[in-house]
Amino acid sequence: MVILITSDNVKYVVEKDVAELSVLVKNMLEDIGPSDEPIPLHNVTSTVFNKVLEYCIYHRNDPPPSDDDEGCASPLHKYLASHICSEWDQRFFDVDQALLFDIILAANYLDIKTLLDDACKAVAHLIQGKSTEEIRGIFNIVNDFTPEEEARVKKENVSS
Amino acid sequence: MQATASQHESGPSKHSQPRRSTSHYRPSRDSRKPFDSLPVEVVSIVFKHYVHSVSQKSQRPYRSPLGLGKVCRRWRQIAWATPDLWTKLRIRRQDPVSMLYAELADEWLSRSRTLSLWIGFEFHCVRQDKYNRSVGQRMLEIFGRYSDRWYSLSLTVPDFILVNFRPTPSPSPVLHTISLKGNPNHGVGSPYHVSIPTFAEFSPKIVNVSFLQLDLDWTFVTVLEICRVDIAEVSRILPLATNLSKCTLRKVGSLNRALNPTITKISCPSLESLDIDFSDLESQSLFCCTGSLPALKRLTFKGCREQSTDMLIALLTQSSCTLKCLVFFEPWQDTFALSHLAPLLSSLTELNVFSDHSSYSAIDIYSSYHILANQSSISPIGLTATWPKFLLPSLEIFKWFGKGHSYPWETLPGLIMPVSLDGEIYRRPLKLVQISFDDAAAVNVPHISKGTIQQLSEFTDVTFEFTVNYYLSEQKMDWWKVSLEESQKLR
Repeated sequence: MVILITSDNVKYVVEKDVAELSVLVKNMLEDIGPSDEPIPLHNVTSTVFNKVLEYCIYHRNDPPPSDDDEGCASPLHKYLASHICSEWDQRFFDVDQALLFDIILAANYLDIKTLLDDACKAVAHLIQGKSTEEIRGIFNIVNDFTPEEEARVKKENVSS
Repeated sequence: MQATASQHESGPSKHSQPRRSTSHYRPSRDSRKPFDSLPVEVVSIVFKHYVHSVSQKSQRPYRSPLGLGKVCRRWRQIAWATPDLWTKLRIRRQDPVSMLYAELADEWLSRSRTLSLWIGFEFHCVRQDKYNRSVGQRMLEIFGRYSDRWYSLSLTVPDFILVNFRPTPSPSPVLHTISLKGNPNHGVGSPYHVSIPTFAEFSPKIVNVSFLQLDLDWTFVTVLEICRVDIAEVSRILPLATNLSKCTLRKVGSLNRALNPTITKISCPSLESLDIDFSDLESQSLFCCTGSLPALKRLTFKGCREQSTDMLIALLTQSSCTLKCLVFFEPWQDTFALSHLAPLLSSLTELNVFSDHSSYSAIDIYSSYHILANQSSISPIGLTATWPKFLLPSLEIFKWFGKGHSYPWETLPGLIMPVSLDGEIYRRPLKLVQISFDDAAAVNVPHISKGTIQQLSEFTDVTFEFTVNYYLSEQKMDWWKVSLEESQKLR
């Protein structure tokens, strides 16, 4: 068992294989060796960590993600590799946008590649099929292009 | 406050539902948190998924990254600096193309930095259109500069533009696919003789060529499709493609007859699957009489008018192959075509027959099927001497697609349990019998007799699918069911 303490001082007792899905925690455990000392997670609150833990426990027995061969894998293969997203995952990420971003930040901090990937995919789904204006509305983004930049953007209509 | 949570007490199992406590989530900041809180490397991951993943709504597996660059400066900077977003450029025929877009295409590809590239370009113009010709040529110049990173190159452009394509002679080590289509509607001269010599150093695995003669390193090609190909070109390529396993040759012709006397043998020892049709008798004869394909397991053969059965027999005999699947287009004038072929098909497990006799209804086309059902009942002179005792002894799947005439339903029980030459009954290991044909109206289609249906019903391990498509009314009928209903009416 591993003891983890979130930034709001909530203590979690977690099985080692689950905790080690986080590369950050795994490295810390290797650094400190056998110890009952709790590991502090400075950048993660308990609310967010509850979700992270829920994901890690559900996916604890998944095969490790294979190395992405950027040079050779076709977009289709990359898509197939990245799109295996279960119904459970879809429901898991059906959350408030702010919590989704916090899960991403936590996954990035804890270095949990599959969670980071899946959460980023959930964000990507939010903007698929949306117009530029709709995307700005979804994320509260301000159009900060100068008129010259806007003109350049308009010229870029090479279809893909 | 200090709480202790244990996964043993509260953690989800594989069968659990995700907890939906999130509606009570109170983030410390505005709930519409700025996307800017995500670090650059994370935004890059989001963008990669946006470009390369499919959505629930659209199955389109690729989206333009240009849309990301329209949102704001930060998105544009991150998108432009993420090489993975720029590895695929596809310009379709309906897309507007100009010199400006050619330069944008160059910028697009340069953003991919060192990654492998997928380039698709469909373009058309007439020879007299100087501006668009120069645009097309400029596009090819740009694509050619990136030849060291091509993973897949697919060009459909007029042959008079393609013929001047000069890619940088530094072939990509990861080159996988080359598809070059000469778009001959806008070209001139012989469709067979537009030669593209500048790919000689390239070693793709999958090649698709139309209306062109292409020099390649054929050694590593495993899948090849050529449309409008000269028989001399076929005889040159196949022996060089020593790893070729699947090949489709459309409209094989004999245009350059001066080269034909030099064709003595067309061999391809590794070829397992061939789909071929011919545009003239000479090329059919040359291919079949000099062809040797010993590894062939699957063959689709669409012969050219008369002699096609004899030619196919010559090819199979020379190849000494263990054919597993044959797709055969039954020649209307050869009523014994299948029965001629059957002795060579002892290893065949799947037979697909296309039978279009819509213009020749007077001809008895049923002979082969009667023989396959009962060799002893009809013994054409000259056939019996070379026949094995059992015809098609390994057949598991039989599919027949007809047009203009029906199938001889009464031979179906014999197809499953045929009678040999000496009167012995044996059982073919058939699992599926699928008969379907197109007809204008129901009046031309005889029903399956009650006796035949009863006999077929006893073969419980065989699946029967009988379909009649009335193309005038676009109706699709289950002919087993229709025939059953008809026989009940008669009672």
